[in-house]
Amino acid sequence: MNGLNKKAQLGLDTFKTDNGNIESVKSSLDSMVDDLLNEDYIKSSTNNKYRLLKFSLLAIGFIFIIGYFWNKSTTSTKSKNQNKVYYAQYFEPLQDAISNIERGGKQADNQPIIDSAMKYYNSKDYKKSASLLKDFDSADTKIYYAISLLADGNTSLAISEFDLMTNNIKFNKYSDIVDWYLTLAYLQNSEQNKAITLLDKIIKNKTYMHKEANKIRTSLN
Amino acid sequence: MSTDETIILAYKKSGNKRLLSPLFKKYNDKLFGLAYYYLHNRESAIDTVMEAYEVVLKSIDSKEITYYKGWVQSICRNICLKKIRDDKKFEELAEISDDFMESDTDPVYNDETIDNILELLPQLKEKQHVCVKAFYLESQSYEDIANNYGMTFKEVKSAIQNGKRNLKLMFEKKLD
Repeated sequence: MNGLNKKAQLGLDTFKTDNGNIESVKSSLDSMVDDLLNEDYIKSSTNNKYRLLKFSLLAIGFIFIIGYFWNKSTTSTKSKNQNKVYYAQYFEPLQDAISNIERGGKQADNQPIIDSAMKYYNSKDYKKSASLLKDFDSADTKIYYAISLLADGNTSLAISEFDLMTNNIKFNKYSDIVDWYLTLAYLQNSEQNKAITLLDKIIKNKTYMHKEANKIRTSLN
Repeated sequence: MSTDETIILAYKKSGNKRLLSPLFKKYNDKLFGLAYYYLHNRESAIDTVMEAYEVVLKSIDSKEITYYKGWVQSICRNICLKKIRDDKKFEELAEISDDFMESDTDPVYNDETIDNILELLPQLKEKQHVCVKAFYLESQSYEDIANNYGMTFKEVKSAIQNGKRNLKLMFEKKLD
């Protein structure tokens, strides 16, 4: 019997000598042990509950963040789609004003090609019209070339052509028309801010298609 | 591996503390006996056993236990010794030890002193033993001791003084 066992036995003997009831002590301790382990188990379960709550809150937070970005993305997609709707609603090809014109000099030699291009243009075969008008750099042909690109879905290239015309005095006579078609190109390309700037300009100056521009601008508010 | 350590292993695998119930209950009486040996008080001894289990629960996960019974008995003994050291009455009794010194913070006497005093106590004459134990370990007043053991106030006082002196002599003899 080691020292501690001996002391434990001495303690029990002393307790009995002191008229203590060891069975009553054992019963009390058994009950307290049950309470302690049960309480501890409950604490552990409570901790698990807190862990579950923490996890749930994190999950809700995560879902909220995903939802936020999804909503933002959806809103953005909706906005993009709406811009394309404006384009589809308001795009009309510029009326042909250059076919079958009697020209002199060098331009007369190109007239059959221009006529042919405009035939395609008028029949809405914009790929072919753009292809034929590509190499001409007069203001009269350039505007139809850029519009053909836009109508054919080659929006980025159309924008660069319209930009080129905006910055060159040679194309000044079409500047108001360019502003309108460039606006539609920006809308088609989801560049809404640039479109709004141009719409405001068109509305302010009451230039080509300013009423339509006003309708779009109102819708974009 | 004994049954005790098997239970601990099962608990560690499952994390279910209720599995420890049979282990705790198995040594309830021994731990109580140990605590009673030191504290001489039923309620204090029961409290100490429960405090020992709380320590076990706190450290069982991080500790590798090869001999549970010895481990839990050591925990219980250390709690008892701490309680005794915190007891001002026992401090008076410990003055019989040569190790005892007054310090600015705590009295200085080691665990061995406590064990020696507790071992020597039963060797006193019965009246002295009863009175010294009641006064120093159970913190009873002279009046309570007199009433509980059918003695006069003077007899109690005398038994305590003589008991303490004899204890000191026995203590010195033991150390020699």
